[in-house]
Amino acid sequence: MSLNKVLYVGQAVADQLIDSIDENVDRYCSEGFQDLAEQGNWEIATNLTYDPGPLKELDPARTAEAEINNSILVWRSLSSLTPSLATENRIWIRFTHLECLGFSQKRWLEGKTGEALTKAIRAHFFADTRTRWRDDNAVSRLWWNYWIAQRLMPEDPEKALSIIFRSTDMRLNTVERPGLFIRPAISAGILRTFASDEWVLAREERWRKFMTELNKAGAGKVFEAMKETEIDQLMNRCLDRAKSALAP
Amino acid sequence: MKLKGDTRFPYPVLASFTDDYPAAKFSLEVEPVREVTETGEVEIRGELRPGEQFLDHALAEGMLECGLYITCEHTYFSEFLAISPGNWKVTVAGGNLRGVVKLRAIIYVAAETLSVPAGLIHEEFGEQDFLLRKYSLAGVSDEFEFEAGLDKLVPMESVFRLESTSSVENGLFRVGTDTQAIVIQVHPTLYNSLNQVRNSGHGRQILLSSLYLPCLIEVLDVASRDKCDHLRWYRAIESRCRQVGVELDGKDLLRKAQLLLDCPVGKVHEAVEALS
Repeated sequence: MSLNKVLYVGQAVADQLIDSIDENVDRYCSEGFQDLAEQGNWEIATNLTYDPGPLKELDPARTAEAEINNSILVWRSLSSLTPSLATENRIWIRFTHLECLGFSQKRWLEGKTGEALTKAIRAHFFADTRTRWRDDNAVSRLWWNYWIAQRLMPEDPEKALSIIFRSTDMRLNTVERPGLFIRPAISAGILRTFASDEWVLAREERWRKFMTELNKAGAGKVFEAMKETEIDQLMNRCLDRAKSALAP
Repeated sequence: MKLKGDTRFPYPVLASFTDDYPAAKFSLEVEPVREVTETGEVEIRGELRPGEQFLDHALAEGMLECGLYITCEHTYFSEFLAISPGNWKVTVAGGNLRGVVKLRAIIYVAAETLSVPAGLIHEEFGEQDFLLRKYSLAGVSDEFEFEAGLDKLVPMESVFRLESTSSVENGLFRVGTDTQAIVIQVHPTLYNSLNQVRNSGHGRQILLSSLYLPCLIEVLDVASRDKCDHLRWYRAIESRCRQVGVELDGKDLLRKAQLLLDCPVGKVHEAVEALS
C-alpha cells in the first residue's frame, strides 16, 4: 500500500473555481482540471497521508448499498483526517476536481443539463458550509457518514450505516438533525434499539411514534450520566409503548 | 430533549431563564480559552457556583453531580464531561473543534431521589417538598460560546481581492460583493501604485485605513441586508463579528468597521514614521 500526502488547493484557486462554474462546465462534464492544476497552487501539502487505492473503487451507482460501501472505502482511504480538517473546503475541492473527478461526475452530474447541472456542481464539488461538507460534497459526505456511524456505534459502524441508509428519511432524521443526534448518548441508544429490533424500521409511522414516546420519556433526563443498560431499558420501554399505540 | 434557553420543565430547575429558585442564581464563569497552535488542543477552565445552600450541600454529599456539555456543530463534536463544582478544567484533544463551540454546565440528580424543600422553590410547585428522580436535570447554566481553530487568526484583508480594470476612472475604486472574495476594482495605474504600497513594509497599515476601511463599511451594509452564507467573505466577516462581539445589523457601521480591522487609523502614524 503506497500512501500519498493529503493535498489542498490555495484559497484563490478555491474562490476562482466557485466563481467560475459556468465557464468550467465542460471541464466538470468531460475534460477535467489537469490543465488548471498544472498552472499552480493546487498542491499544498498537509502533514497527513492517505491511501489512494480505495478511492479508485468508488461506485457511482445511486443506491443505498453503494453509499454504504463508498463510505467504508473513503474511510479506509482517509481515516487520517481529523474532524476539523474534514470541514476544510480546499481539501475536498482537490479530491472532487482531481483524484475523485470521474466518480463525482458519474454519481452527481450524469443526465443533468443547464441550471440543474450548475446547481449540482455547486452542491457536490465544494464543501464550504456545514450542510455541504456533511450532506452534499461527493466525497466529504462519505467521510462524514462513516465518522458519524463510528461515533454512534463504535463496535459496528457498518451496522450503523445500514440503519442510517435504510431510507432517505432515516438519514434526514439522524445525520441531518444534529440538534438531537449530536448527543451521542441518545443517538447511539436509538441505533442500538433499532439494531436489536427492526420492527421500528419497517415503516416511517413506527419510527415517528417511537420518537414521540422517546421525547416524552426523555424530557429533562441527563442521558449522558446514565449507564448504557439503563438507556437501553428506557429505549425499549419507548419501543413497547410505540408498538402498543400502533397495534391493530 | 434539547437544552435551549427557552426550555421549560415540569419540575424545578435552577437557571437564569426560570424563576424556579427565586433566591438563587447558577453562575458559570469561563476563562479565556487556551488553544495550543501546534496540536490544536483546547483547554477550557472556569468556575461553577450553584449559589444556593441546599444545592451546594447536595453536591458536596454526592446527591447531585455537575457536568459540562461541549458542542461544536461544525465538527459534530459533542461531549459531556464531569466537572467539579467550584473551579474546573477540561481539555479537548486537537482536531476535534472548528468554528463556534458552545458550553453549557448542568447539575443533575445522582441519587435515587432528591427531596427539594418547598421553601426554596417557586410556590407554583406546591406546599410539599418536591421529589426529583435520578438523572433529572436540577440546574442549567447560561450558554457560553467561543470560536475554535485558526480561522480567526486570518487577517481581515484576506477576504478582499484587488483587481485591475480600465472601466474604473483612475483615482476611484469600486467594490463587488457577488464573488467569494470581496473584489476592489481600480484603474490599472492605481492598481500598480496600490500594489507598491501593499508590498512596502508598513504599507498594509496605510491601506487598512485608506482602502479596506471604507470598503468594509460598504460591505457591512450589504451583509446586514442579505445573508450571503454561500460566499466566503460573508462567513469570514460573520465569524469576525462574533469574535469582536458586534452585530451584523446595519447600524453604527463606521465604528464596527474600525473594530473589525482592529482600529487601523490609530496605527497610521507608525507606518508613516517607518516610511519617512
